[in-house]
Amino acid sequence: MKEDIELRIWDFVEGTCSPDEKAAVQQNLDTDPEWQRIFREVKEMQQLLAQEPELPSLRFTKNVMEEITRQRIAPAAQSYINKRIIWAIGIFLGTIISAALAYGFRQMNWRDNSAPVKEFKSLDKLNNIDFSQVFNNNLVNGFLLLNIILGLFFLDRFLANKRRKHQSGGF
Amino acid sequence: MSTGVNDNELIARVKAGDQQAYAVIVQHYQGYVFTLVLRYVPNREDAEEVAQDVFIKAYRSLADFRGEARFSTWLYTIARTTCLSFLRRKQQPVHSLEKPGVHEAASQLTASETPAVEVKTKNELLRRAYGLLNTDDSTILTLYYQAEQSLDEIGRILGIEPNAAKVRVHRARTRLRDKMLQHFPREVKDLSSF
Repeated sequence: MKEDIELRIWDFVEGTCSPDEKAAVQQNLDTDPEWQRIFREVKEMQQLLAQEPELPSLRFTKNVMEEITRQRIAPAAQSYINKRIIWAIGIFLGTIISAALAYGFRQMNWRDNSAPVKEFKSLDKLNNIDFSQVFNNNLVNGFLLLNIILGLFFLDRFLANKRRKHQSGGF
Repeated sequence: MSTGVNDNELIARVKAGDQQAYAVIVQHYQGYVFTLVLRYVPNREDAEEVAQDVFIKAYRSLADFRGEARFSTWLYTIARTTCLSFLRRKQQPVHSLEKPGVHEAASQLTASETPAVEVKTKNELLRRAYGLLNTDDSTILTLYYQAEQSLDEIGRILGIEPNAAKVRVHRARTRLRDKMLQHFPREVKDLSSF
């Protein structure tokens, strides 16, 4: 209960509450001695917290500036991300996906004229594909491996970007 | 909080090659950055070294600052990550809120166990009380009250939601007051009418 009152008074003192809430708190402060006591505590604490920051040694700025003269501003991270490479990887991935889809469609029998009740027959035929033969194929295995590597590569880039954004706070 | 001259204006000048404009920025923010670093690195010499490193890193990365947030928020984010890297290098523990036992250990300290240095000023009282808090609490209070960051900005710096920042600020305030009353009851009574 006290904590709730305290939190409301902090919001009131720091001006972070709505006008309605402000009026309600003000009313309590005008009438309730307990609220008045907590208000005094909060004000004292607020004054105590608003202290000047500590200062480093007098040479601080000079030391920094001496070091700065030996430094250069690095180019922005965005400037050295080559978009053409990203596009090339995207096109490559798109080609692989298209090839995989084309291969899958070729395995299907599109001339099946079965009645609607048997519309899933073509899917049954999909089950007849000997996947062990397909996945033993070195070329397909190679494609799969490449996909996995590219997937991991993109995941790594995604996480790295996320971390960088998080560290810079999206500034 | 800014340098008086618009921060973004100064940064544009620095980016254009005017290194001396950066001295104005350093001069203005040195206290805030140093105080924030002290919350992680209590040793003043180390803290000064880390604070210098913060300004040098900020200078080198200035091209990445797009002015979408306040410069101070960006700078404190760099300060925080630099402190954490420093502590990792030195392998000093950061007393996080998530770390179990920190509060218990701190609360078990009795008033007689705290160094018997007379606390004469409010500043000194606050500095010593901050020393009794865990790093998360002292950092969030420093950002809110001394570095004048909003809850949104604190959320950005610490990677938390503004609402979570608000709750943490309140809990940290409560713990700070408890520590002061527990360890410096006489000083608190002298300095205010708690």
